[in-house]
Amino acid sequence: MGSDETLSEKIEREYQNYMANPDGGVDALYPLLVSYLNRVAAPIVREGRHVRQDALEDLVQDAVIYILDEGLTRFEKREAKFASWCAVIVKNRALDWVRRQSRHRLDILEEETTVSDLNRYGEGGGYLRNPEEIILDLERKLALCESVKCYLQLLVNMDEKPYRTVSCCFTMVLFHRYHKGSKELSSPSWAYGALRENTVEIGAEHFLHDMNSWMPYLRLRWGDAFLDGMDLQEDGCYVSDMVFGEHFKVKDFENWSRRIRERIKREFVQAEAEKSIGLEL
Amino acid sequence: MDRGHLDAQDFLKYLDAEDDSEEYAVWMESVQEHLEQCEDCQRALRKALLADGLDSDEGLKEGLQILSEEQKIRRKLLEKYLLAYREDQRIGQLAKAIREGYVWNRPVYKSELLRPAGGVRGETAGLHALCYYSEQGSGEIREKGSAENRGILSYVSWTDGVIRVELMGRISGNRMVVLSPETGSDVRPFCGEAVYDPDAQMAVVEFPAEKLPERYRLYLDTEEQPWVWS
Repeated sequence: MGSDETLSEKIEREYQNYMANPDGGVDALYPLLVSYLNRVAAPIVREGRHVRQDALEDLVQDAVIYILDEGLTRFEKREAKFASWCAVIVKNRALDWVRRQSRHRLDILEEETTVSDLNRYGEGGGYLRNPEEIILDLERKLALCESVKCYLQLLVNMDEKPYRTVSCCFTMVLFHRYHKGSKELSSPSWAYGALRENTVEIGAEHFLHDMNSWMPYLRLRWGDAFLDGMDLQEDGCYVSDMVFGEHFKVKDFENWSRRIRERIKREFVQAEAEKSIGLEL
Repeated sequence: MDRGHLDAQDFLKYLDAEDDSEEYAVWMESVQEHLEQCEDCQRALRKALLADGLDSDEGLKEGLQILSEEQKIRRKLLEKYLLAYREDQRIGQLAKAIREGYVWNRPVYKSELLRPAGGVRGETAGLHALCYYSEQGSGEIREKGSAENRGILSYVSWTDGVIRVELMGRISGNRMVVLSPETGSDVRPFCGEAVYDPDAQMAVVEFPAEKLPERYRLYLDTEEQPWVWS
């Protein structure tokens, strides 16, 4: 046990000690686990650039209780270290927290800040509740906006069967144009029906024009790639026939949509990794 | 030994909450050590988490909703920055926000108000001033009057202790106007809302001149800002 011993090695040692002598208790193991799991979960349990300390503490506490209650006996010494197994547990809980957490509230945008509020604030008007938190919240929303834009851009740039890819995006367009507040956004079966209904008698060029004009604020444009992706025999066909060929049923649409989105996710993560790390992946 | 930067496959694997196999735990060992120390990979992980959120129908719907409110978010953020700025006296916070693109309130043009030596322009004495401005980047300074930028005609005048900014032309609603001192000044920026008058087809805001520095920049929020794709 040298001074260079890492935290995970210390945990491993204390875990071995405990297993050799369970009556010795977990007093030595407990603080090491808390410290280690904090380090694992901190990069995940965040709002923007800031760690959500309250959530992090709760989450780590729950994970440690689970590990000490059940994990110590469930974990069997194999190739992986005990600390790594604990890391997986807390990491998964942190990811769950993020997924539950991602409900963004937009009501803050409706709250009016008037000029008199602005000028009063500097003079002790006490207008704002916790401005730092509000700023963090807004910054997080903007970061999300940027991500959505990148996400959609990747969709536009997809090189396979653009009209089918576009049809996935069509859901989003329809959502914005007709169904603000709809709960059905991007439900593939809904998209399938809506797209089919709206493209029964329009040609590809008309459809492309509509798509581009429907989403001006998105600044997304499908160009020649859309038409280039058509097969020769599809020239002059209605979009409905192209997208929903005889054998392209709702299930195929769902699979197509899922596959496209998986690919976008992969490309998005890769692009962001390249930007953040500067790696050629 | 550090395993080096994580790649896209690593991030996707990291996001997999289903796998709790032994192999996965062994892999985590190699990843965790690096992740704890590498800010770049932590940043990339946060982006990967966003992508993960967009992958669900609910997440995508929410993302699109927020995207449709982007303009409002930017405007609100500008207000909050200004409030924080006024409260904390953190010089440069507004400029930083603008530079980093949190807010779009770019200077439509630089406006310089210069106190005259005596009321040169025939206006009453005291705080009166000549109003000069130049379009940003042009270097050309013209006397008084107005300039057109993004279809909005603007007029700045300074009389009776009030600086009045009038926005005309293609304008159809209230707009946020910021008068910000030159960099290095310890004077706070002033933020005001130019209220649109449909009859006059102009939006007007007035600021108390005595609290303003002699030179400042005028920022006007822009409704139209094309996205720049990287």
